[in-house]
Amino acid sequence: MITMPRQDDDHRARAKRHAWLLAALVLVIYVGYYVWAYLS
Amino acid sequence: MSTTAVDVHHEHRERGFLAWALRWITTTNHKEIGTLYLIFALLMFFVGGAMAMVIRLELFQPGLQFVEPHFFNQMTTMHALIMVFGMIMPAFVGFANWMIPMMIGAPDMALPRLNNYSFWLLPFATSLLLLTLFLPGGAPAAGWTMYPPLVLQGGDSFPFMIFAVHLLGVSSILGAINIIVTIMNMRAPGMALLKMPMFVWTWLITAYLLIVALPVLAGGVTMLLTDQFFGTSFFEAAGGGDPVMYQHIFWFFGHPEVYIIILPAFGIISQVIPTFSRKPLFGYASMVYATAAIAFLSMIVWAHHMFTVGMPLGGQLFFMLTTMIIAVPTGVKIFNWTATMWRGSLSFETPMLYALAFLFLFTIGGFSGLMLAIVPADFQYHDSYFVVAHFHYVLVPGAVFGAFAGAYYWLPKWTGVMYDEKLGKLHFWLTAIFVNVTFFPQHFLGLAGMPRRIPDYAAQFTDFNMISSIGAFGLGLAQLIFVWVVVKCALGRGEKATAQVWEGAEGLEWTVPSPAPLHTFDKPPHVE
Repeated sequence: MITMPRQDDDHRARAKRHAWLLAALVLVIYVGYYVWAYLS
Repeated sequence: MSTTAVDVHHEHRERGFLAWALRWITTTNHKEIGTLYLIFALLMFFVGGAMAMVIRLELFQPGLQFVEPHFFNQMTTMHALIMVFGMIMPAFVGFANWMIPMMIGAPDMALPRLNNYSFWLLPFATSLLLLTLFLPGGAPAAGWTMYPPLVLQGGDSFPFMIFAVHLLGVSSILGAINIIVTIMNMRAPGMALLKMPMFVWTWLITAYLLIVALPVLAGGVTMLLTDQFFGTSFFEAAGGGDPVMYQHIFWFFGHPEVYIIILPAFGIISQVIPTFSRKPLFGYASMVYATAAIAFLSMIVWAHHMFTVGMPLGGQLFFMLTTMIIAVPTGVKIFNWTATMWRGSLSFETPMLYALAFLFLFTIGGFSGLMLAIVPADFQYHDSYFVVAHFHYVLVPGAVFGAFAGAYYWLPKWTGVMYDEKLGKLHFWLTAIFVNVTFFPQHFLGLAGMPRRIPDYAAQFTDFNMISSIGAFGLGLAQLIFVWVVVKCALGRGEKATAQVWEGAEGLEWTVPSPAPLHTFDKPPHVE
């Protein structure tokens, strides 16, 4: 895998965790807005 | 590691076109993906620009000459959607891909395969949008804001547009996630947050704005979809819904979107001005705080786009005042850029010319924005050509000039050769003149009462419309010079660029050779 970032596994694992958290936030805002609009 | 990369390069070249194409399709390298984004954005610049030419051709004189009114509406809608989602946003993501890892001393983006996926969603989404032009009933024609109930009467193109907007949103959100986690996790040792170049800072803040704003748009357009096909009544008064709620939802996305487009341009200007002033950026910390303040304020001003729908006086005052307060951090930025140049050893290469024009012309757009923020005045200006003049001043000599400044600034780093300075300057002067010829008369048209989004107009608006159209044709033609400049650089024709390229350039990206090798910072640099 020549194009993978070099940083050690800790960095990449942490980056992946952050990415999942941000993706969850996106989902919460998306679904949250729909539900809020549905209830209002 | 870099030796391996070179070997793979050669191997692919020997295997022919298919291998070459596969390499670009499957690449996970931030520089190659950055190049793909930038080429795609340039292509869309001409697609969206061609639509602008149709609009200005029809508006050259009163009456209907060239296109049907319905097709004219398709052109205004598609021009905006393509330019916003297909051109300027991908252009800045391209800059981010190329420059952020090099600026923070990282070997690549944190999530390279996600990066590839983010890019390749784009051509599919924009193709979906563009192909609606060939559907019965044509492309979406209700304006890029997609207001119901009009948008629900749009015919077959409606679900295609909704799906395309979703895909474009997913692409941008994944790109934003990647940029945030790269900046937060991949910085070289010693690269503290408050040591990062301003371009990195502006992109970090922009990426957070994207995360907050785009899901709201996605929610809004999903509601449109379920209203149309699944029997809900979010925006339909007959079913207990409220069409004005759509406007609130759309602009809760739409106003941060304005700053999503302009903040990376601020970042580029903050790199270019110190380089060509041969001085460090004045007030670095205040620039960071001003950017954060603009991002925060951008989320509490949305209803200034819809004063005329009727809202309580308290609401009008709140949105008027918050809008005006944005002038404070923006003023801080303009002041700092000016102070950076103060007593600097200035030189006026093409990137600096674009940065200077940005300062003047973006400020004009800012001032007309202040005029629009005044509620009683906005009741007059709303939906007039004054609004068209305002946002084009912010987006063209603002965001697009920022992108041009960045392109000329970094082209030598990307291609290894200096661009043709004479052609660059010619491109700048023609663009700067024609941009004003195109958009300045639109202020007068708006103040005189010409409404936006119409293919025909009263005879008294003819002169200024003719001037505006001539400016637009000139502006369009001048962009061919830029293509020639880029092609020349890509072909390696030009003076060989040094690693530092510009005498006053500072930062990690200028420590690597030009062109930047495919893999940089395999070993992290140490930042003092």
